[in-house]
Amino acid sequence: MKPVRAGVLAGLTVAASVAVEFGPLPVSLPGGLLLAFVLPGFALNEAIFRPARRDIGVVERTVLVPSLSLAVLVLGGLVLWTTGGHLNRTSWMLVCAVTTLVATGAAYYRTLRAAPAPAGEKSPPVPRNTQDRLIRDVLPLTLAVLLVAGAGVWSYADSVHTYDVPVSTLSAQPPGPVDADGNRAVRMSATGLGAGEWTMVLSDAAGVEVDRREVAPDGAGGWSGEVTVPGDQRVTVNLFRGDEAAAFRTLIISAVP
Amino acid sequence: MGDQPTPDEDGAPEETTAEPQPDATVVIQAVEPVEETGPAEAESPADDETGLQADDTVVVKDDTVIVKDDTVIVKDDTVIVKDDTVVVQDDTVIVKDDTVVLKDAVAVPDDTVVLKPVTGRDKDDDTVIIRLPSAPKTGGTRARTAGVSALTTVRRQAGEETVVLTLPPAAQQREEPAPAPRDVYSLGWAPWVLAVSSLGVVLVALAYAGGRHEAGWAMAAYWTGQILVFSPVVFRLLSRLAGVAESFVLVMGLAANQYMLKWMYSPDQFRFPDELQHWLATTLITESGELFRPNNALPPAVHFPGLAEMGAGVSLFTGLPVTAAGTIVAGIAHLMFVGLLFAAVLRAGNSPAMAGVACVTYATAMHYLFFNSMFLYATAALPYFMLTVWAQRRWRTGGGPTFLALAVAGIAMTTVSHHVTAFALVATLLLLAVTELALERPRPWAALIPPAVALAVVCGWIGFVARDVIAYLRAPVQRLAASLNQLFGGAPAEQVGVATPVPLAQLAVQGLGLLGLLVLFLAVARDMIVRKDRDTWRWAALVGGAVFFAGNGARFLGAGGPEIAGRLSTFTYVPMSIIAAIAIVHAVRIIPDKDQDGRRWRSVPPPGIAVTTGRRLTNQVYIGTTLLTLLMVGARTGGWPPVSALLPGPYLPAAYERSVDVYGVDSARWQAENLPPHTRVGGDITAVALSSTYGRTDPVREVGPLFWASWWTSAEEELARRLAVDYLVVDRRLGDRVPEGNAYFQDDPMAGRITEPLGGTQLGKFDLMPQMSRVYDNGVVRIYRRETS
Repeated sequence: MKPVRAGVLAGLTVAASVAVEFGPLPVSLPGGLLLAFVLPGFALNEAIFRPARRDIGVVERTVLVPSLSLAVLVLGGLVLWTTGGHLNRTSWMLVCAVTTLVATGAAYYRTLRAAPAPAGEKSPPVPRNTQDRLIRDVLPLTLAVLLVAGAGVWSYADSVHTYDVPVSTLSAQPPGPVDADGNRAVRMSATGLGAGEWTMVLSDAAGVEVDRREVAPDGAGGWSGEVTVPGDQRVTVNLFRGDEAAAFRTLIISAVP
Repeated sequence: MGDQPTPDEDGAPEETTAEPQPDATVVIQAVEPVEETGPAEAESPADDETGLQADDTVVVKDDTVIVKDDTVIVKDDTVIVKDDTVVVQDDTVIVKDDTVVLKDAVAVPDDTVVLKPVTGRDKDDDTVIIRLPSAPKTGGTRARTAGVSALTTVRRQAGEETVVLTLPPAAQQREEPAPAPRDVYSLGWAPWVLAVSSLGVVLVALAYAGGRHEAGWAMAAYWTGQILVFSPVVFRLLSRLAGVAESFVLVMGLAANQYMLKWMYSPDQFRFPDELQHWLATTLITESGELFRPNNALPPAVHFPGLAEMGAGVSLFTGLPVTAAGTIVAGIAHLMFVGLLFAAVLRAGNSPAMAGVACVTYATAMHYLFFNSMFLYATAALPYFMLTVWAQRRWRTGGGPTFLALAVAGIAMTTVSHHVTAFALVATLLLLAVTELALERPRPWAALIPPAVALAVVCGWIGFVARDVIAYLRAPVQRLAASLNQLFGGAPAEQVGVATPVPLAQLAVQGLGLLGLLVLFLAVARDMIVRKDRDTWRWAALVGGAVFFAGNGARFLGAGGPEIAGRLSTFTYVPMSIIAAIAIVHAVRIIPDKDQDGRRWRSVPPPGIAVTTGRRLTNQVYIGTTLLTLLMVGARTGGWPPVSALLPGPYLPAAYERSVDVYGVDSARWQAENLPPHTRVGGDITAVALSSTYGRTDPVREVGPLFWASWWTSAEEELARRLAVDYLVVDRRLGDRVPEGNAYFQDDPMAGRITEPLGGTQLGKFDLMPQMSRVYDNGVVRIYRRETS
């Protein structure tokens, strides 16, 4: 690995590590992706394959980069864990970054030690950058990326929109112990209640109303409160919306077994 | 691979084969030296016993266009002779073209020898122009002389329309001036083909949106989009005009587009139960910073943390939620797998066309689009499975110990990622080693090192770390044994469950595709047998292909048969794809010609490979595209999701992704907030999946009898007590329709026999049980607490 290339790789590794550790999402996102999928594998590629030799092709090198990077993440994490480490952002970042830097150093050192390539050996082919490539390659690829990205964003928005319907719930915590009067306190809560009048009616097993109270949801549609129910009776808790005859939500609190 | 040369392992295949424009590689196998006694002997079976290795090959890179009259030009400076193992005695190359009959040889001014058809047909002028390597580039008389000199050895083999050309000695070739550097990175038509393919992604996105809103046109848009995504890429690859860079970009672009199809089905969250289980495994690492924490949703996954580590690492590094990080990891792993498959086949075959066709053929595997792309631990293991196979190949072909080390790393990654993939890797490496030992002399015992290492690593991991996987895998093995017992031993069908009948049209599509693959498989097998093929990888692929067909027989082994067959095909479809690529790219004869003795099926194929041109090539491209498209359609109908849930949409009972909606998720989140960890919660398939993941509770899956009972009797109470059920989740919509699968519950006692949905009595009885409290109600989902004294 040439000094400039090694320097760039090392600098990029440090920058990505800093971004991962301290940066906000717009910075940590590209930094983290580089550190997880690219940099360790790239450096290992350079380190393990002989410089100035075409041991592996471009296709192989391309697929090895993420493969080795993820291998560092996984096997490095296992080693870290088995040696008593904690798998958090900092430790894992250090595993990847140090591996990258060591591999970069090894690649650079190997280049220094390597004999010059035989005269007859072909140098790797160099891609041609021509103006017509802009139209021939970049334009349609950009179109393809835009189409796919647009479809993805739109599909995401549509799925969220379809999924995101309001849910109104009524729930109860497990009742507390029976007090001296034979009653139990039950913590109840409701979510997703819309504006309007809400009424909670408690009735016993025979359908006789034992309690009634108004429920006033907060701005977010939530409500919570405590109700007292007899410990020896099965109680039904109905939540009514406005003047509706049918209960909007219903809970049942069984008697003490 | 195939009838291809063993590539130059010292150089990258894209560098050795991609010449002026890396298009249209034609690979011609060197054959036995043709004896002067006549062409008939050259093709006789006896000649195959000369021991000439399959490596004695000549690669002719034909990157020039097929001109409008279907002329093929093979340039001299693209000829690469590889004969490092056996000296090809007279450097003879045989170009076989059935459509061309040698009429004359004319050296054109640029030292090109033109072999004209006898009949000089206007429409099908399958002219083959071959510039001889020895011809100097100055043209004129010297060229003509060289051409004519070479053509003194040109002869036509009677009845076979085979042209035999003698190449100049290798020494003269070395005196040739080095070819000018070429743009090996040309993407050819790949960008435009992918742009067209991307239109298919847009169509499928529209179809998914239509499905969510129950539009009638959605299914038509879905199938149009699927075909538009897939078929243009296949068409281009089958044309054999794409070089390495173009083929690779096409294959990776197709994989990316198809991953988009998977992701857009449920882009905002994981909905498949297994993905949710791995979401929890990953979340546990991000929350605790510890490995091997108990995961009630999928206990065996605890000891295979590869995927969870990847997801957790990316989530911690980037700050993205686990769902987003998991989506990225699954996508990258999917692309890695396809890229490594391409690299392995390219390295083995040195043909970008074959590598590309193998990849697109694999894209028609049953589980390719969903199970093998989901956020599941197998998805993380598959690329390392393929990496190990690739590294093993590189090591066995002289790549050096670096590749053995890479293979060991691949084995380790596969082992810590997924149990079944690790077992498959051991079997694959063993198969490769055994074929090598069987075919090569002296026996290369070193070939046993990779499978031995893999076996040791897998056994060590399971023996010391993941012991629970033995019990986990015991159940499916026992089911398989019971199915086999039923099939061959006459056990009653009740023991193995009842499978839901598959629609006839779906069976027909899948059957046609399988039949097509079988034809290709048999053609390649016949070809290899009569050629007395000694290529170890080709034989290994053939054996793997046979296992693929045997595995398809598992479809008929009871209710779990299709799942077993599908999972098995994840691995066996790799060699099958390679065999199919050999057959398609090399135009292996489906119905062979009769030989001079009138034998058809035992006739030895003519040496060399057909240089397909003109209408025949066109037909092959169309037929191949149709076959692969048919296989893709069959995979979509027989794979995942099931046909009834191909599109996302409103809630369906027990339909996995289609059953996950805001009501179920809200109830699970309530459990996470209000119930102690490890509370035992039962319910239908979806409820259990959500409760055990988002809800962080301990799932109870065997609660089907509690739901099917019309009344809660002492038997139900006893079962509930035995299962230690604390809570039951009841989705009222279970009573709306029968399940999309064949069961509402895991281990459903009514599986395969459900003709009516659960009734109001069955679902409503919990409100009447004195020992049950309804503690949660969102209008759709209710949660009951079982009160115990």
